[in-house]
Amino acid sequence: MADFNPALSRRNLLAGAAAGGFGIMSSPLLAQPMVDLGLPGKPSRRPLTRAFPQKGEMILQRMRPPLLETPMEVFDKHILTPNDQFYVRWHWANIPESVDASSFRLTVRGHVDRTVELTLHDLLHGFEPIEYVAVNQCSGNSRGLFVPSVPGAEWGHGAMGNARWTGVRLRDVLGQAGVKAGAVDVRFGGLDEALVAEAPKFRKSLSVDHARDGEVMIAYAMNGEAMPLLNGFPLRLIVPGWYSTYWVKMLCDIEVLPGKDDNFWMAKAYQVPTTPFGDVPAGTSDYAKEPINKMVPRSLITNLAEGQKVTAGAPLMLSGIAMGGDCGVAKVEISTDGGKSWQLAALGEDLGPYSFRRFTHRLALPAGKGRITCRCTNTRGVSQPLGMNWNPGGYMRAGVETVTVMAGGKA
Amino acid sequence: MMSKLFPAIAGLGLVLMAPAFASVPEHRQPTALGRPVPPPMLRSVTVSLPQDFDQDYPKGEYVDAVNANCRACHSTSMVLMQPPLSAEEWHKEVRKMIDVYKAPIPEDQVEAITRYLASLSKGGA
Repeated sequence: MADFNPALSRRNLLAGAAAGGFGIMSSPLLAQPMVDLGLPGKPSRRPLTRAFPQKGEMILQRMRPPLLETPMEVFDKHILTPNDQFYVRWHWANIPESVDASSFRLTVRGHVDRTVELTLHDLLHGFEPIEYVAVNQCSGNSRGLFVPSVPGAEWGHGAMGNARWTGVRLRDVLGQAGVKAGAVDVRFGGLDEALVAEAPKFRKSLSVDHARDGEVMIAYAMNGEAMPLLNGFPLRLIVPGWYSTYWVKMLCDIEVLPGKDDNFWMAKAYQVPTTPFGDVPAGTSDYAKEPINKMVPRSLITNLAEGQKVTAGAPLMLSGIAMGGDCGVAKVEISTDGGKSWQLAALGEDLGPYSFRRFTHRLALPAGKGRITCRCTNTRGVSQPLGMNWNPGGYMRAGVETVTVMAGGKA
Repeated sequence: MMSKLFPAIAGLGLVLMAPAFASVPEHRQPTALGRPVPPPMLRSVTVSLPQDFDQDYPKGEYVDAVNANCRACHSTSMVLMQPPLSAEEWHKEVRKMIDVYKAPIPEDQVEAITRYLASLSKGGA
């Protein structure tokens, strides 16, 4: 029971509350609706909030610096996550509340032939635009479900989103500055600043080859619109197939480095075991580490909540989302016997290798407790592991997820 | 690089642009927009982010030390949503705030803060 986060549709929540079960609770003082993320062994309830600018209803993990989680029902409704319900994650609370579109500059500097300062107009009109759909997922998405627990942002499954990004190739922008021979890394910084001057400003780097692969994008639009300030307005780095820690928001500074970036956020934070899926035995802390990088396959059932009642013997339509990680989805399979046998789910429209892919499957359950597991295999042939991966940072959760439903007689 | 010609060639679509992707494997090629794109209007934006500096930690022994030192940088929920941690683990978190994130916490407050947090984990506080 404890290993799956309920697919929390609003309807299910209300039903759960009416039945006296899990889910929505109202604080009599604030009349603030709550959601239960099903996090084992730790506080699990969070308020829903509409207090943030340009954002609709979000799960409030932390007001300052903002951590806002996307409710599961959003993934059930939309394959492209709406901008106003796209999750939000900031490291420092020193976020500009105002961005002037005409005075904003993106600087490219460092180990280059010439420092370049670009206006938004330059970026919109001076480079060939590109566009693709890509999943943005927090390195620590689903950390709250880790067993044993690890400290950090205790997310459910909603620290991710899928959007159509439009912008320009980072390669083209670097080309305008002229990358000098001997460049090693390219470092990215945003308008946000640390609260204390000596504290490490949030900055991330990619290898110069990765930065120039023609895919990494400086985006100015998200689902066809300017992005919400909390999602990075006016510019965000898009690193398709890689965890969101590299997708620097409010991107304003690009620095080409002649050596490896050893800043705190690359060398100390966001380190994962070098093993497949970053998996080490629970409790381990001594292992070879590397900066987190490519995403791995995942899949989630989005239309059933943990503990939901269904009718035994009647057709039950499953719906969910899958991602291949750093490539496309090859297949999604469903098991109702703990992984002994699998049935192929149907896949929805292919929006490209980095997008979510809808899957659906019809089944009928015998009376009693039904455990439904989904497993994604990506186009590189990598499948989600049947056992849950674990590491002390709470990163890269990717084992198969199971939802337990109660199949009973007709109501 | 300043492709003023783009709108003119864009109508010809992907055919003209294909060579630009020669170095990217086919299945990973990004979609170039084979049409003139009306760029989104990037208007200046001003927002107001909600604040909660005045939110107190739950009452308990040493709560004053926590209220005095642990509200400037982050919400109380960052602490209150954590799994139960031992005093040793909480001490590590407090040290990280000071040593890595440079929180201006007086050294003589570390013990009190750690004790409060540990008792919170035991369901006290």
